[in-house]
Amino acid sequence: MSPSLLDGRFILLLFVVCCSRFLWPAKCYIILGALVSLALIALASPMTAAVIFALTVFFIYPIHRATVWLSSRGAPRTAKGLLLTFGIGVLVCLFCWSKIARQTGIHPFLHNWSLAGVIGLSYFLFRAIDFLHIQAITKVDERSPAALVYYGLFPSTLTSGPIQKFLDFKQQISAPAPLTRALVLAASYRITRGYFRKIVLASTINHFVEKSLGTEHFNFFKSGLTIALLYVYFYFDFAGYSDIAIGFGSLLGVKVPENFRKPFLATTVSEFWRNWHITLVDWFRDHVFIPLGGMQVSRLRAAGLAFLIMVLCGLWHGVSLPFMAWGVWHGSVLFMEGVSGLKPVPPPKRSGLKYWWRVASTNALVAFGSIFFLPHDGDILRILKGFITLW
Amino acid sequence: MVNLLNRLGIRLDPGCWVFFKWSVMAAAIFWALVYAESRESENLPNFVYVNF
Repeated sequence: MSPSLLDGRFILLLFVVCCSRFLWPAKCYIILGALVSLALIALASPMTAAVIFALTVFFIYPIHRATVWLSSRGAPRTAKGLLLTFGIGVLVCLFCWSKIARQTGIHPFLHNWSLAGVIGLSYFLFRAIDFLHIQAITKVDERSPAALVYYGLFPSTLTSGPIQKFLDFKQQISAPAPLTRALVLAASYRITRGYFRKIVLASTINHFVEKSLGTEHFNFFKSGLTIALLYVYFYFDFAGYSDIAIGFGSLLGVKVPENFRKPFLATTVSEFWRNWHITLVDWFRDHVFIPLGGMQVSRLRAAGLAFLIMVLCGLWHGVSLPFMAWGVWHGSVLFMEGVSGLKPVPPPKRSGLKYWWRVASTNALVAFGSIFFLPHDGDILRILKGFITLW
Repeated sequence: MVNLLNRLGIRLDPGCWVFFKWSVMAAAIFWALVYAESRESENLPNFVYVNF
């Protein structure tokens, strides 16, 4: 069994956990939620449960308590800042190490222990960094590690997000939504829609993409059609996953944030990124873009920051040349938009030929980037070559 | 779709419409799973964003 939302046994166990919430006393919701999540993930992937639990209880929680202690003693801000910088620095190093280890198969320092066995590590690290970073901005005093363990191991969002902010999660679990008939119906609709998008739509489109990639010759139209199919495939695959995660999350009493908001209707690529994988983009905005200056700096520097974030985003997908190229492609488009001051079409003007032209050109620019997600470099080159072949 | 039905003069209760969509999706998933099961060589690929 794996903690995947496509694994039948895991889904069944998760469903049983959701249904058992009827029996959870409201006072013990957080502790029971943490214990049940730990048991569920430990059954599915013992290493994932062990690593996330150990990092949360023996590293993130002590740093948090030490920060609170320093604040209560009136210690200088630099001491608290240094501690948080140390904590976030260690998590970032772990993140980079796991990425490089996964890509190269080399595991420095721990030769017989592979981080590849930890499912959803990068999403956990995103959440952990969010938790540590918010303490530099707002007062957080989390006395029990149970809420943190539940946050780190929340089963519906463990493998691929959406990346929920700690304060939002804490607010949700402090007063979890009761399991009413309306909530169960809405959640089951959302879960069904998610599986429909994944099992029926994404799988069918994937079948056509594979068929297309299986042919020898590519021309302009075939290359265009292939990347359009790939683009739509990624949408249904990931939006389907997000639907399932949101559905199971609400059955557990937590309103998980949305990851998609009609991205195909965006009129600029920056607007597209505000509506596609929203929680990841929000994370980069809160923890990279704003600390480095955000919109308070010159237009050129803000555009440069957007470029940097997209390259980082590309490297997050994988430390390889195609993903780097994906980041540079999106970063360059965002940079050009930022420097030229191109704005999205305002809602009252969202009709007519000009509007649909903007929608189509934005989608074409984004869809082009999809080819860098193909696993074989040869396929990428064949499709690119197809664009300069008319017939 | 709802707009199209409204233009044709067919007015569906929102609950009815959701139930209809839910049934169609559930039936399609069931069919796809049975179809996939009948062709054992074709495994359902995992989510693209899993384990990034």
